[in-house]
Amino acid sequence: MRKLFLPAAVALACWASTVAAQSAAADGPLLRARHVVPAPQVKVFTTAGSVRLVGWDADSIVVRGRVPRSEQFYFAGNDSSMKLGIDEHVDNRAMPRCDLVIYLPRRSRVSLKTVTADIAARDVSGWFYTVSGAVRLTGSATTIDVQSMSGNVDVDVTTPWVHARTGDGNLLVRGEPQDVDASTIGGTLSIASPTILRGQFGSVSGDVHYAGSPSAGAIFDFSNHSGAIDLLLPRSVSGVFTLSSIVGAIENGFSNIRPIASTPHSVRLSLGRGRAQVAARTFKGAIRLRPQ
Amino acid sequence: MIDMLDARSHLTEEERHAYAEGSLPPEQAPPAEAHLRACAVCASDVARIRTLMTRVHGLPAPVPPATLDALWPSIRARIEASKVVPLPPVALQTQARRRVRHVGAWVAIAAAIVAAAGLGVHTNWGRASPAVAVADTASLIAVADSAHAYEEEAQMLLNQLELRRSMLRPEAAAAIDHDLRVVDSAIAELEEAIARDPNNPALRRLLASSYRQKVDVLKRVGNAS
Amino acid sequence: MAPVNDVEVIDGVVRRAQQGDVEAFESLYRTHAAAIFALCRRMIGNDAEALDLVQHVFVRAWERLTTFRGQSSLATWLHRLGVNVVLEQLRSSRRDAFRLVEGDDSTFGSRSPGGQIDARIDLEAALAQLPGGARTVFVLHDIEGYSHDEIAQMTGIAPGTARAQLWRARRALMRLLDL
Repeated sequence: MRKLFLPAAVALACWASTVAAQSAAADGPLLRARHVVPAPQVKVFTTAGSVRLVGWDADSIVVRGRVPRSEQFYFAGNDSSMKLGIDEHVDNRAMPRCDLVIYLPRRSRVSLKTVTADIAARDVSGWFYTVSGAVRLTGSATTIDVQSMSGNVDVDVTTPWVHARTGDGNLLVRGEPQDVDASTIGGTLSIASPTILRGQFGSVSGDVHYAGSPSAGAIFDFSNHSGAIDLLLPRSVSGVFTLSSIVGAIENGFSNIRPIASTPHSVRLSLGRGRAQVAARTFKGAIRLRPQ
Repeated sequence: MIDMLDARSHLTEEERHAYAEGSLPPEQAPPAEAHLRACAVCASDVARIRTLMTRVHGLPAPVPPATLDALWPSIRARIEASKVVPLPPVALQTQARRRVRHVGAWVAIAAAIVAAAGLGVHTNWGRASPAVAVADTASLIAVADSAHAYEEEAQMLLNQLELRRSMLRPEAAAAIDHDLRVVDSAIAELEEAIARDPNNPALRRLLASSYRQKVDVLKRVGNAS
Repeated sequence: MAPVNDVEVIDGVVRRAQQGDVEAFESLYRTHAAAIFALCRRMIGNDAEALDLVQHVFVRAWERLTTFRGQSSLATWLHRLGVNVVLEQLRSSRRDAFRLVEGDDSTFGSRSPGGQIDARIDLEAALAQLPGGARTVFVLHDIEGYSHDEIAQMTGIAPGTARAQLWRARRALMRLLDL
């Protein structure tokens, strides 16, 4: 076995090296690399194109990417606080596409801002802002604060805390967050996570969809003006549901359960052992409680 | 950065302006000067900036029109009018309290009863008992104040938006304006509903929620420039 | 009533005005009105609104005069108050003129298609043509001498943004003036 192990190990190392090289090649030329402290503060700015952040366990930051010759990549600061990105033109003229890939310590505190560039981040915590780029966050984090004006946002992260806002963009919250404050103005808000303990979800004119079963002790608050609130729940769900609308329709799909209280504009329902507290209110949007 | 320059690259916009106005950090001035001696493009641009600044510094003050002296009587009139003894603070109504004037009379009674009974907020599911009605009053005032607080913050942020508007990217400005229109439309509908049904705490909670959304949108203005 | 120029007398006049003496306040008005007009005129871009703003500034000064402690000169105190009044007016008026002009910034102030610009255009006229935000920062920095940090505090924009606005204003003026 030993005779086979060594060549296999060499082959594995070569394969890993090849994969890494291919990955590096795919990420683009090396722009900057330096040693950093375990939890540096990193500010990133770019306008158009894409930026991908990958949290890793190395004590360094490596930036790769493809930047047109007309544009200026900058990197400034020290090993505990730095800023990098693509210089913006003073006259705000349209910027060509720049693609950056940044590997940085998992414990980094990131502040990332783009205009139209898409954002993808894995195992990274911090603040992410874009005007119209698409955002996808995955992996594990300590906090996530993401804002987009018109881009879509997909948060699929294991984290204690998520604060997410979009305007017209759609917002999807999944993964395993615990405390979530998510809202849109007109975009659709979709929540599908079994681990949320505190949830504040809202929209003004976009629909809000929740699918799943609130865990025991969870407290959810849904608020909408003209958009609908749609709660798709398993028949085994356990919670007290308080639904109210000023002029919107309330559709109770659990019609076999007698409400605790009911008026023309409100329904209060206890399902299962009533372990979670869920409130939903709208002005004129419909509220639907539907069994899966 | 300046150390790396040679005649093939140029001073940045910031460096040119700072050099022209004499605010370049001392350690950067010599390399900048050396570059300007070698680079006709930068030297010409800096010279143009300096020409502008010279003209600005030599600008005489605008000549006030004769009507400036004639302003004093109207200023005096406004000052004299402001000498009227102001109303005592209790008579100065905030806008929120004007909106809940229907329940204003309940305030003193409600505060005493609520304090004595230790009642919490309770949703009115049917015909209210007096104790619940009093608690609803306190709740009503609380949410009205909350909505008013958000409204004030929204107005302050709106003022800042107008000042910063020129710095916003066009796509960001369009997105913000669109979102504000959506939220303002919701707020208008809610205020109309509240005018018809001022004692409805659910409406006021929705209004507070809408104002919170508006404040959220306006806070993103700072990020958009 | 003649304007007051002696330092000791100014202190006495200010004290009397703080105590409610309107005639004393009129002295202060006569002394400082021209400077306040110049400030308002440059920031707002036209005489009529500038005159209106002068009134607002002095009414505000009367209301706030008791807060003047003499740590700066009265002229400086009035000047700072004047800047705030004008900025509030610019914020609340929401005029289209205060917004950046539509379209590409590079078209602003550019030469006409024929390659000629009006040779008679002078600096004041060019200044009046700047968008409100850029004019505000330019006037406050290059004419009134405020630092970028002070401008940032007064206007609520970041110092870096104020710098960028200033460069933009200078570039636009240079194009208008054919420098």
